[in-house]
Amino acid sequence: MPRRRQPSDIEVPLTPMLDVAFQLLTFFILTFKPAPLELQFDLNLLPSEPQTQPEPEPPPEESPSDEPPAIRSFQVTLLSDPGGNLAGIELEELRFDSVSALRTKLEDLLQNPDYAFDQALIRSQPDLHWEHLVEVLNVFSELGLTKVNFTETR
Amino acid sequence: MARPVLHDVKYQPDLTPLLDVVFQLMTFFIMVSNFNQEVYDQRVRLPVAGSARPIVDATEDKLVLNIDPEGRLLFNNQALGTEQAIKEIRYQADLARLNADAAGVPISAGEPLPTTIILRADRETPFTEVFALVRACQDVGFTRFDLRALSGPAL
Repeated sequence: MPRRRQPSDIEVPLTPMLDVAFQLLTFFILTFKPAPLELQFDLNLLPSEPQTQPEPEPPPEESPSDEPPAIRSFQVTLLSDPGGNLAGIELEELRFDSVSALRTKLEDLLQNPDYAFDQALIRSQPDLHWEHLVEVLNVFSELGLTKVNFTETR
Repeated sequence: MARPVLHDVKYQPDLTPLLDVVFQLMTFFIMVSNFNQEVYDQRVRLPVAGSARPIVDATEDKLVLNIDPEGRLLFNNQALGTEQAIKEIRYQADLARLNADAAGVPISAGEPLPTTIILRADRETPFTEVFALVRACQDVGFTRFDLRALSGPAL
């Protein structure tokens, strides 16, 4: 005659598992440091020596020609003070005191259909802090100018 | 008057829901933890640029250059000066070519390397230091660059 099994009452001790889980949780909470959101600029830089030799030409104000507009390059020079701060920006023969002034001028230039800018060459003085060059890159990026190269000037 | 007899009551709270919550919290913290801290050095304070686009981490072939405010390359827990950094960049380019050879897609000396350079330069690094490393990268055949910036002011 088979023995009848008695109903078993198995209790799994959850307390040790909970202890470990709480310790792990404490570790993660204490070491948690949310990283700021990083973004990226994609750049396809030209070779070391600048290939562009832009020669500024005034936009044709009269007698619109049938020829396609010339593809030209912005040449921007960033000037720095001894502390590495931005002291001025030169766009060809123009000079600006701030990035916002440069942006306004670039917006005007890019609205002119006679200009066809497709790239920019940023020349920077050696001491300038990297953040100021990124500011200018940011302006070009916002205006849709993504072909950018940079070089150093004395 | 006799006090009521207290029976031996065995009180067993149900710990399962608590354990569920704890595990869910643990899962959250594990997933948001930054395990790439050695590569993405937190000592580098990136500049801010609102128009940069979110990172698309599609490429696996990348070389991260963390540059501190003095222009030193933070690489493998070492701060390399410019000359050492340039040597390291050349070495990494040689490695990239060897890897390409091993994969059966050899890259000749003049051809650009497929590796993307992730440039994480501190906001106060002088331009000349960053440019020296960028030019070193270009000289050995790296052409793809991702400049890293923050979406807003650093915490």
